[in-house]
Amino acid sequence: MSPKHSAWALCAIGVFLMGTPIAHAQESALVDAATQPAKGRVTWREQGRFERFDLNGERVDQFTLDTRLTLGLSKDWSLALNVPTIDRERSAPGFDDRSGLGDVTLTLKHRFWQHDPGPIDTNRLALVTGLRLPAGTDGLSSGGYDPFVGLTFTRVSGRHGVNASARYLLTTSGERATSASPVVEAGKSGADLFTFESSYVFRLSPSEYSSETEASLYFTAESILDWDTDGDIDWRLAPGLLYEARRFTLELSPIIPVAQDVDRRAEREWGVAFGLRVLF
Amino acid sequence: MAFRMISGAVVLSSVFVLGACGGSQVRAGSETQAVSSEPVVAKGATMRVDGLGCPMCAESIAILMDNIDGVMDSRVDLSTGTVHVDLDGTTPVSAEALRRAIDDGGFTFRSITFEG
Repeated sequence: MSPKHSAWALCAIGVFLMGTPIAHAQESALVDAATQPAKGRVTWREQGRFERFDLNGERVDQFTLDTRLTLGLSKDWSLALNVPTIDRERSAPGFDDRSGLGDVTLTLKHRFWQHDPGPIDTNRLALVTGLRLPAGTDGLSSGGYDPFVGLTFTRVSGRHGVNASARYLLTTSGERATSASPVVEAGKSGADLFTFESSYVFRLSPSEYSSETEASLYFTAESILDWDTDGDIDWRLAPGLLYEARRFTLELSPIIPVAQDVDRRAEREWGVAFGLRVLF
Repeated sequence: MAFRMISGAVVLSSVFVLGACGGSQVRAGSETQAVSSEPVVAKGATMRVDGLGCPMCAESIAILMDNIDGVMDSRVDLSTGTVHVDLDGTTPVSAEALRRAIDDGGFTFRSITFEG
């Protein structure tokens, strides 16, 4: 099955599963939040990400379609399946483009603390653990069974929201970097990966909720730091917009590198992420 | 270089957290009412709920309520954190069932009042 067909098939599965409620309080586009679906419910989220990298002067363009299905196991536990479909194009002649499935990720999330002091205010802490499976096609996979563990915090206070997350990925195998198949992304080499990310969400409209409120528009600012244990590190920001109606959410975030010091993988030039969540 | 980037990301995250410390709509008297599992025949019920967060969360509550036998319709007011359900007036519904639906949705139930 080609990547394009895989993407359509995953979309079809998502549409099939869309008759379910989502409990995602002010979730930004790229940073994890301590939110999860209601017990017994499945949520679907589709996110496209275009990123341009520089690989020793060569341009590498990568489009990733991330499909995420999340099942609420109980009010405090959820299980998520993330399936990326990747299309990678290289500008240098003589190298094949790569496209196909990326590594599938299983994530178990446990919200172990919650404090809701007001009608829309909430504070939540969740423990996140999981496994990245080597399901990806050659050149797009880390090649190992890579476990990870992390902690995620979410706070919504009036018009303001914040998410913060720290995660450690233990890489058990790692992509073999060659000129024909270079390492492009963080966490795909033999080194482990520490990720520290945070986001600020501000409700632009409405300034005050009312009984008639049908939708909200948010400004989001996201910060993502990827630190490979081999020394490669990059920090990027993603200012964006989030439009959240009662039945669907649209998200758009440009990805801007702030600083990076990478020797063993490609350097990020820019990117853009856009996504859709639907509630039927 | 790595130290500068980590420091920068941590400082920025701290600014985010500080930014989210204002504007809270804390409810006075946030104690949770004990509810009965005894079914009640009524025409409606109004619940106070905390932690609703967003319009999509409100819709999530409405769907959870609509799955309960006897619930005809539901309305969520984010400004006051109240969830009102219209009941059919014939099917017995317990406060415990309504409370459990709120709980399963990941929100905090505070109190309930039956009408009619």
